[in-house]
Amino acid sequence: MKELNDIESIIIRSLDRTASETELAVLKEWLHNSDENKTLYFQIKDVWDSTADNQMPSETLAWKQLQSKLPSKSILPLWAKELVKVAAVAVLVAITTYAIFEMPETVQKNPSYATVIVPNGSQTTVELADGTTVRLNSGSELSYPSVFGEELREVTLKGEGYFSVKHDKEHPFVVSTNDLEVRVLGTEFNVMAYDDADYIETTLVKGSVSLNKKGASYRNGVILKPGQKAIYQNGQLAINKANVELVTNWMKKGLYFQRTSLKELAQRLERWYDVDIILSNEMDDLTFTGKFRNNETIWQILDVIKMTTPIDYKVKEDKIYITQINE
Amino acid sequence: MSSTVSIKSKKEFEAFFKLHYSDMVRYANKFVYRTDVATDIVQEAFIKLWEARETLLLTVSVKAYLYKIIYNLSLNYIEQIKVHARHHESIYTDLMQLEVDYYKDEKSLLQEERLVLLRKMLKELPKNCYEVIDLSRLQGLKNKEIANKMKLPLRTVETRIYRCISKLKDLAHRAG
Repeated sequence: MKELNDIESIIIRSLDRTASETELAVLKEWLHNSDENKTLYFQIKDVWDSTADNQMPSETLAWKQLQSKLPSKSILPLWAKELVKVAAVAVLVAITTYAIFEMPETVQKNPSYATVIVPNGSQTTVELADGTTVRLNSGSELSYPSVFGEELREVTLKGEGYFSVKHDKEHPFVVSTNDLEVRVLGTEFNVMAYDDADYIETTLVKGSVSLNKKGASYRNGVILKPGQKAIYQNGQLAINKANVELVTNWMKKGLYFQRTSLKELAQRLERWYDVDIILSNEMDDLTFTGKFRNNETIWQILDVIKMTTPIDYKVKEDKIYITQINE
Repeated sequence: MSSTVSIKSKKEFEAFFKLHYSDMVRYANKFVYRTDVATDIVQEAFIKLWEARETLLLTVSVKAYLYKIIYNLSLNYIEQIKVHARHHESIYTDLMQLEVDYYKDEKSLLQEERLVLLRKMLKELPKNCYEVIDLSRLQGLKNKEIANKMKLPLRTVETRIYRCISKLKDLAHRAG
């Protein structure tokens, strides 16, 4: 055990992270012996840390990532609180009875309206009377008239859809969600407005759209430019740069997560794989970043998440239970 | 010193970011021992800096402010992992705690302008020093890998690295 006495070796080993537990204990004791020892050790470590040059992440890449996250100046408190109440009433009105089908199916709600319901675990494409196509993600619902009205082409969305709208200046196309209306001429954009998420996200890929609070005039709306996304949350609308690939990746049957909270991740896996996932707690401090091609099984995905995030999972009575590892 | 740097426009902010990014990652990494965590912390710190840029007092050095945020975020992280630390990790978290306490009053070389000088001095070290420092710090090899490469006993390599780092440390502190 002569080596243990050699504090110089132990210091370098601790920095190299190859020191044994016993060696670390020796180091710890030595540090507590005197303030000089502490100063010496931390100064040595400081040189070690400051001169590290290997595997430094690239600034250019890091800047790209950061840029999309910098909040733009315009956090617009656009709409008054009363309008939220109006929207809440609209939600209640909008919830009508419908059947859930195994496969996407068209239901006649009344003589002129149809609703497409996409169950969890599948996706579907709908072509509307005007030639517009809508790709609907898992767990979504789209209502539309079999014949559009005189002035507007109006549809209602719950969930997530990618719209390729047929150009028609005379008849603006309007997507209504619980809280927001997206109004367009001819364009491609993605709307995500799941009921279980507390925000609505609109990303513009091509063309231009305007957004307005339900019940408000579109003339006071916010115009979105291609590559931008609008996030509507708690009565506020914020415009940000969008990562279009990230937003539209679901259409290519991929799953793409970037610092996604475990809660949202679980919701998306539930929709995608049609499974029930139960989180043992909120797991507010955990996020996951990664990309899947969707030929993985749910278990493979959970195992990958497990490798980088302190969680574990168990299956009991057809439900997946995710727990945070504390010990 | 650096107190007059302006970061109001996105262009200025980008230039500032690119200039200081890697040193900030090094600084965070010093406390958290994990590059992925360090880059997350640095990203969060720059976002906070961007949000605060309008209200930052001119008397505060932007760099100092940023170091302060990173320090605090690292501290939070350490608090967090201390709760979750497995037994065999707890000694590392003790060391981490000791180090953040030390830096309450002390500054890292990264925070001072001496670092550029230090990196220059590195090249002026005696050959046998430069060799091991280059392999260890610049190329990131483990002590064992260096020993294999140089066909030297592990302990010889370790004490040599210690002596050379120690020399650099003295030079850096004298230079100030």
